[in-house]
Amino acid sequence: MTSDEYNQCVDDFSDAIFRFALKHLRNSDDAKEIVQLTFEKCWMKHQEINIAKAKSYLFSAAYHAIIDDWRKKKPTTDIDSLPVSLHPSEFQSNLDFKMKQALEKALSELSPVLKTVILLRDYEGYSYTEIGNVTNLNESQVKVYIFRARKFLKDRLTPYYLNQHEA
Amino acid sequence: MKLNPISEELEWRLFEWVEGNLTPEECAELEIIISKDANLQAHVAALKAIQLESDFSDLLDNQTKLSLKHYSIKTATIPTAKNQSVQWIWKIAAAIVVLILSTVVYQYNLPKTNGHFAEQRLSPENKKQQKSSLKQPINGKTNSSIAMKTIENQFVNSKNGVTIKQQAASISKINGNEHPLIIATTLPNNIKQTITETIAKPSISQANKSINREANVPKIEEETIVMMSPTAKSNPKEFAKMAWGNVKEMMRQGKLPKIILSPVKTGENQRIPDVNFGIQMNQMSFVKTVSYNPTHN
Repeated sequence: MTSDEYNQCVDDFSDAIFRFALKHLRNSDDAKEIVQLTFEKCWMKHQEINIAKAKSYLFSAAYHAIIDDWRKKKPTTDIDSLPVSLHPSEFQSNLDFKMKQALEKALSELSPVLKTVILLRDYEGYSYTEIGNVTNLNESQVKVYIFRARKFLKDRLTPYYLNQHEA
Repeated sequence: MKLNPISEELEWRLFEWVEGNLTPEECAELEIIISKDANLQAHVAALKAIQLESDFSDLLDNQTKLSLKHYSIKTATIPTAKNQSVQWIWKIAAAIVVLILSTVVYQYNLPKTNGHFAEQRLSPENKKQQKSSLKQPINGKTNSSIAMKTIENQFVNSKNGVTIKQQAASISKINGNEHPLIIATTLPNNIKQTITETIAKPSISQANKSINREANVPKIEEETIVMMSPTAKSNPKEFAKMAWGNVKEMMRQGKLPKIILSPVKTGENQRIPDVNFGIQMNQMSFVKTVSYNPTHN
């Protein structure tokens, strides 16, 4: 990968990695740090990385950096650290806001592997193969992990969902 | 409304259906089943509700993006096999330029003479003699101090009306020894040499500006100056050799060489050029170092 290709990767994937890290860590500064660590690692080995595999390499590096960070710190559940997108003013009803809040909270309770696979699947639209490249899992394992993550979130959010519908 | 638990197999099929992993036939079959069961419909709705959707508002700021980028300096690569000769040419040219510049700088930084004395480059065999003669003090004084004193005396004498001839006679010998200027400018027998008019016309110092210079200018007929050692047969080859040696010495001292052709009368009333090679001191004076007179052949 040349330096121009590396810079192109920065333009293409830096936002996605930032969102990915932000959803994991729920802290903007920590997410930026993860992004910088990820691209720093990528630059150090950019001559060995093929441009076609840069995306999976970046997310894999970010994933491992997040795992390391998660092991050092306890996951925060501070509502004030929620992203701006979940600000109440952006939602039509208070129930939507509560639903989103509950979703974030349930997401933070997932294990890093389950959180990673569900975020990559839903947020980034990755295929099972791509997720497997990032997390070093095969396709079947990725599918199973996504299933377990959805089931967990569904069970946690069912009361909010039911209340929303009853309202 | 409550979500009644369903079998894990059914949950997996619903998951696959939401993920879009079922075939059209399987999708159609499952949709029929779901349409008939409200509980399944609630489960499907819950699955869709928990699907995370990014609103793409979480973006990295531009400053951080710029800090992530790397810009490497591109260096031009020359195919070495193809342009090796070009590289060698450039290297040689650069070496020549450096050599020329260092020579010019060296010559420019050399100490310059004061111009009062004509220093000449003799042939190698006479160089030692010249050096030894220059270094021989007379009456405890160095040759340069004697020469300066001579010039001062000439100035005083010319002021007092002493002719050049008389002055020449007085300075040609000092205590029976040849004047150091003469010794210093001694050349081989076949070279004729004359002392420049700078001795006959000493430079006027700042302190003596008010002196009438006209009284000090020697008359034309008295421009005859001390003759050097008698001339022998002149030789063009020898002349060229001497002249080239003088050129190098002059360049080393920062002087400008010049050749003056003066007509010489022959016995048949014809004029042929007499080649005088020397240093142009100023507009008035010319120090002859080497001369070539074809009539002496």
